[in-house]
Amino acid sequence: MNFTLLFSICLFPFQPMGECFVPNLPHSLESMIHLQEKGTLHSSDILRHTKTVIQNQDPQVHCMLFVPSMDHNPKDCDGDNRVVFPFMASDNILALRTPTTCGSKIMRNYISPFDATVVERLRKAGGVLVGKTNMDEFSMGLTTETSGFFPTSNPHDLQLTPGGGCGGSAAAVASGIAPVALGSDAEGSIRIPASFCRVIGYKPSYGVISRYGLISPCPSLDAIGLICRSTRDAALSASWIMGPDHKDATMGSETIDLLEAIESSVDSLRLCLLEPSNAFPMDFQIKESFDRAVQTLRKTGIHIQKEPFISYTTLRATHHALSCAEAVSSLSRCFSYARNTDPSSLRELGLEVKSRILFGTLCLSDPDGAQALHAARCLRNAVSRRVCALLKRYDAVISPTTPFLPPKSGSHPVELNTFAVLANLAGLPAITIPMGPEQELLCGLQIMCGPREDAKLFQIARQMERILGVDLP
Amino acid sequence: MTKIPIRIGLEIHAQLKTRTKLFCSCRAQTFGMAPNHYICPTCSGQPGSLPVLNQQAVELSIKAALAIGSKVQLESYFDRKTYQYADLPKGYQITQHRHPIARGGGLFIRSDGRKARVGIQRIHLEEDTGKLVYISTQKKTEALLDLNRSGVPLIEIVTYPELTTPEDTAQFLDRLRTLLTLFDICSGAMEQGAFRCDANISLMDQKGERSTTPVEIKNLNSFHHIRSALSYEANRLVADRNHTKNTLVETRGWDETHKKTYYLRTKPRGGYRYIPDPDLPPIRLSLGLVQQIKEGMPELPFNRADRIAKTYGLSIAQSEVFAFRPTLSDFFEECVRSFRHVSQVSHWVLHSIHPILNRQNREIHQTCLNPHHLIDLLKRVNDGRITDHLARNVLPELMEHGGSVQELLTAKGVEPITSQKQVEDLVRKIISSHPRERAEYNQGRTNVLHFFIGQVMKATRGQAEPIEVRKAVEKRLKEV
Repeated sequence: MNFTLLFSICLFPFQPMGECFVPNLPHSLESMIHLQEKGTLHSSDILRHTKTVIQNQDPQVHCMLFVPSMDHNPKDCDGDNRVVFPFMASDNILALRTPTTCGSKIMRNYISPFDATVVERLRKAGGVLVGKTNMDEFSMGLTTETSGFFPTSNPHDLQLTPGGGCGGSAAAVASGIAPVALGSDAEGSIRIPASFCRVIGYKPSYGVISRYGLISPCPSLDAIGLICRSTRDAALSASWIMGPDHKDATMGSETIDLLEAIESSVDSLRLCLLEPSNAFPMDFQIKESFDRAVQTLRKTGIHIQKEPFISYTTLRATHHALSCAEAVSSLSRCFSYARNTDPSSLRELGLEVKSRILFGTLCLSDPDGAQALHAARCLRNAVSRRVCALLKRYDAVISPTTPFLPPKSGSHPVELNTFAVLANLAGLPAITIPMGPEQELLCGLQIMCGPREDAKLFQIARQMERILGVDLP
Repeated sequence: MTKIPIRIGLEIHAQLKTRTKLFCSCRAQTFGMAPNHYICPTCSGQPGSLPVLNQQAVELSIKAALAIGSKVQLESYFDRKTYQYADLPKGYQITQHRHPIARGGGLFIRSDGRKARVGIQRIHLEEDTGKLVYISTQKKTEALLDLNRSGVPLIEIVTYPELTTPEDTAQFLDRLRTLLTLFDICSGAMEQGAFRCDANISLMDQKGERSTTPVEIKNLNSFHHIRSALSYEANRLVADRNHTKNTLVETRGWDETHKKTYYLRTKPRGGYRYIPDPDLPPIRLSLGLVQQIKEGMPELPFNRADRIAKTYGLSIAQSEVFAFRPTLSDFFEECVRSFRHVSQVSHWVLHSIHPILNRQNREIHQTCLNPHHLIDLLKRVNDGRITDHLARNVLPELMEHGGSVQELLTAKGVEPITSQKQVEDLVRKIISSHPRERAEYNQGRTNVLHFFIGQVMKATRGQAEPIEVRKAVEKRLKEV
């Protein structure tokens, strides 16, 4: 693969391509909106350009499952707001009258009967849905290889996987198709692909962004989040989709202002590194870059300290048992749909989904399984209490996003979610930013804050972005 | 036949009279409406939809709990009960398994002439399923799915297995149904499936322990079915010697045409795979809310019965009629407040007014009768101005059209017999105008007595009290 070509695509994603020529398309969502408000950029140019990028990029990266006709409907947005921006959603988020397959063949004919709350709110802010992106079947996977349709490639190196479950979203944002993509994060499914594709991946606190319209296998661990090209873009788009929603009973009632303090640094920042009791496998390169990043941060006077913590293996096992057990009932409506419309399609259900459903069923029916599940629930509570207590003493917990670099396709690593699952178990907000300025460094730095401290999370992320030199020009 | 020693426990499903369904804003009362017209993504189980709890359903279930003396739990949770059936599009039913909204309580019945308490184990809130409609042609039977009912709020009331006869069971259900209807919790319409019950029945040994695993009989939706199904099943269990303590719990249905129960299924292996529903936060109630609902409720029937029995010296049987007819009981108490002939009033209310109301299926406030009517009427009777007989004849008309008692009597052309003297004068006049009959009487034909009574009654147009007339006639005939 011609690496330099891809390299240039990533650096200058809005370079003229194909027959259409749009000069100076901005890098970020923010400037895209700013230029439209100034009147120097027209909405039709943006959409035409998006189409061209999809035509050029998608045949190599395979990130799109469905590309709708991109007619902007002025009725969707508020009054005089003529500003538009393209966005994508991973294929487990419902968007009216588009197919929603969850990356599974058993759902290939399912057409969404309504808009997810997040989609509705983005449309209201001027968003135009330009694609439903590829994902692991029912988000069960970490490399987008379990997708029932085709695997997605990492746009930085087509030999590599983009990470998963929402690999399509991350790859599409990295390919410059659109500045915003919606995804869901139940086991790092946003943060892992975002770190592999060198973009920003944000998973909110539990109950901050409405889950109405998300087909989720494990609702208590899952959250809808965003993949963007910069922290500021993520904060801006998150501010549109956040806030109470009467359709989701697990939502909190207060609103969080993400943009107010995003540029101000946190004074005498105190960060925590978790030091698990057991050793765990990790790529040497990641360890090295992480240590370098920690040193850079320390040099600016940030206080960083290690704290003992429970083993990552236990965390992953806990997460696995809970998510599989929830999946049994949560996905049964999808299986009902398949049984009622095309029973033969159930034979095309992937191995990963089958094995997780079987494992979950075992946890729920067997007396031993029920005991294990009970233990998992207790562990989850204990771990949440422990990490929340830590986060009262520290501003944030930092770690690499993944212990490994993006794997080659077909290698099926299972421990990619080592650092990710803690945020899901405890319902904490977490964000991944590129770990260093080198463009070939495909790994991320994860920052995790206390429950509902999403505003502080963005503040810290923005601060680190500047220190590590990874922010957009 | 000797009585078979059995124990019956019940699971009663009562649809709550809410405006909307339990987890969405679709209309809840849809019986007889066009199929699949009152559904949305949530109650039809579309992927991506989420449930949001209906507060009115919570309040009604608290009301139900208070009505049967059940303890409201300030924190309760929803669970998913996983099983596959065509009328359950989500693949699970949202119910309360581990932490129901109320525990304990009980209801009194009269068993063998004694007051007996039937213990309630728990009350929980859950959603109803859809309905399968079978359409048979000569060639095949098709099943059609109607999801209007899917998501309608239900409370399930679970009793301890403490009932001992099918008759007691029917009585218990009747009382429970009346209670829920009374408090406007449930419509009680059994023919619409708004109040239905599953019964489990097991045989007992001499020590009073269960000697067989219980058999569950599903969807009994009339008191008649409940009685016949339970009697049938009790006899079947005695005859079936293979059925022991170790038999799997089995579910049976009731076939009304052939008057027998039939095998439906055994419980699914591995159970229902209950899991706390992650889409719904726990129901957290404040003591204040429970108190507020309690204060807004009318007097509980059994408290009312006890109070009336004590205050007015009525029998248990009499006061229990009042327990379940609060409007009638209020009417009675208002009469007694200004007219202190308690036994006379209660007799009239229970034996004259109550049967008429039952016949017409109405409540007292739906008629034109008010306490003043009854008091006026009874005063006239006690003063001897009208007879008891006449008063009873006027009553239905008063209930139907109201107006004043005096006007009604005048309109009927009734000049009230005011005194004994009038009757005696009339008797004297009639006897003297019939010398032949009188002579016959003197010769020993006592039957002629009835002739004279008849003549007097005719002359008074039936207003005179026949007993008084008889006395007066006898007296007069003997005098002369």
